[in-house]
Amino acid sequence: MSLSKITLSIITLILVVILATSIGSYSTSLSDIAKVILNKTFFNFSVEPTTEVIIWKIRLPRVLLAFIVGGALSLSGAITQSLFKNPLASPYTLGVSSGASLGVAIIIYFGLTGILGQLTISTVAIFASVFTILLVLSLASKIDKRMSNTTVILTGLVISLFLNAIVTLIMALNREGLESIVRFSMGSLALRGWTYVYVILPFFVIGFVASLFHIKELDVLAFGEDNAASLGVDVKKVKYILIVIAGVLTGSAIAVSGVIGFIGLVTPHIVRRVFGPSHRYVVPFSVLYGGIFLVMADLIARTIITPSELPVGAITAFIGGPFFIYIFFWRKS
Amino acid sequence: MKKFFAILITALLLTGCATEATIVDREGNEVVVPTKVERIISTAPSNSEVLLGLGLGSKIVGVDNWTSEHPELDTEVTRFDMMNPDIETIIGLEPDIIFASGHNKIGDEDPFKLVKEAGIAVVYIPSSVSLEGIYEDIEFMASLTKTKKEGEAMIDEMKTFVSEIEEIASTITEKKSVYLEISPAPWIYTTGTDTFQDAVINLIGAENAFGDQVSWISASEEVIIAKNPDVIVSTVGGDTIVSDILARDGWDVMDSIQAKLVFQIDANPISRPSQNVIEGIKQLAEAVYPEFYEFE
Repeated sequence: MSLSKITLSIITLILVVILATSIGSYSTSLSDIAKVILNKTFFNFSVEPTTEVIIWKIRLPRVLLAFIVGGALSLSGAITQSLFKNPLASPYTLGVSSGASLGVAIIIYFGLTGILGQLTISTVAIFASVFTILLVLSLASKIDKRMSNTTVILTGLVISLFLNAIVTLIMALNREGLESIVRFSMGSLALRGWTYVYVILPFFVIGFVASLFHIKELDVLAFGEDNAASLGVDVKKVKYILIVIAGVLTGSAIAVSGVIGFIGLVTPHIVRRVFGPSHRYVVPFSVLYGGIFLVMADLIARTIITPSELPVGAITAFIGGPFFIYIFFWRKS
Repeated sequence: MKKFFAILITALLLTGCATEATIVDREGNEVVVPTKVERIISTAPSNSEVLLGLGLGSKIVGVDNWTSEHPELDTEVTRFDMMNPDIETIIGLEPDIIFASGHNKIGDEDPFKLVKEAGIAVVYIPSSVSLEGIYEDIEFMASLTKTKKEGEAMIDEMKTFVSEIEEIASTITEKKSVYLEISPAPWIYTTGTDTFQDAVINLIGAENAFGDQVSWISASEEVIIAKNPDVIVSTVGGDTIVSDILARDGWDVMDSIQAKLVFQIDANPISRPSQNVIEGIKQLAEAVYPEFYEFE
């Protein structure tokens, strides 16, 4: 039974990727795409240069980036939800997005965006994300040696609110940078090209592989921390590692695309509905479903009012919000 | 009968002493304005530029925080955040009139409601999107500030310059298409019709690559590449914008990038509807058609 679900999910992914690569404000045909991809790999086909550039340098990296970012956000959501046994937990509730936004706001405020060129904002965002997670964890462990779930989540919330307040303050003081900061907090996948795919890829692979190595611990932790401890799991250490993994995944996603909400919240729930709570499925399929979700959302964002674009974060929230409520009522009834 | 007399007396007062007059502002509101204007607040850079051009620098007691420095403007002049003005300070400056802008309103919310209730005249000048509009703005401001002669001189100077441009533009048969970027990557914005920038592009004898769109839009990268504009012009500040655009992934398929026809011009003169637009027209004209236009 599971096998057919897996096959179906993979077929959906392939169809969605083909769909997203073939639709855009510039019209291209399926045969164009096939030609471009073959042309770039083994064979020689003559393709109109504009078409080739749009497919190969603009649309394809964008679709791949959407998949990776969606996958990373969804996986980190799944990890935090299991870890805290809280369906509403996400790295965002631990302050990651606020930390990243603050880092970016400071850079914009002091006009330092040019230091590392195009990638300054990304670099700052990922460092700020990981720093925020570590800050939350060290504070939480100071307050409560056992680092209970409530303590960590509440510490995350407090830090998150505090950092957001600083961002608001910076925006009030710096009208010129206001739009850049707001835009960052809405998320976008426009004008990234292959560079950003290469930026996020190593973090994503490391995070994904590291999660695969902790499937057993995630399963055991879901039964409760006391049980896990009696089964010989070093709960505190595993918790630390998993939170840092989730932080790196989210931080790298925010770094390349800005803050995109709801994916980390919604998709893990869909995956658990489809495949059950075993992390053998939850971990890989959260990536797959999160990827599909963001590829579709970005497709809508860039085509619905062509030739203009909408911020993708608005689309994910627009679909994700109602969908989340639907899933919850569906479960109850 | 009593009412009739009341009206008559009011009318006499208005015409006789004439300390006040009712006018219609550029937005269509009826406003009672004082006939003698000694203290002015300007809430938009374009309005400030026009007022300064009319030689009213010494009468300006407050401006918005985007208005550029000007030799005739007191460097210590009070500056406001006009989206969120400090009403008490404004009233405290005792202005005779406030020249406000469409920019100041957020939706239907009028930030100067309380100022009006305090009895200060507030006239609105929406951002003009054409040269005709600027002429009318200047005329309007000049008539309220008793500087009609200066206003006419300003308009005449602009008209002379514009007709020279129009004459040259009429000789241009092969129109170049211009992609004008007003906000940089990754949140690209460009201008469609119904914007001042579009009017300037057409004036110099070029055509707007996004002339099929209305107002400011966040342009899709795919569409920009597919449109393959002849010239790319950016109004974004900083030293790196031209090299950034030249280096964007995939953009090198465009003729303009290959020929390195990417230029940077100042944002203010081409986006602030005032007499200084002459400078914006010059910069754009020289960037797009260096073979036709040369200014000293």
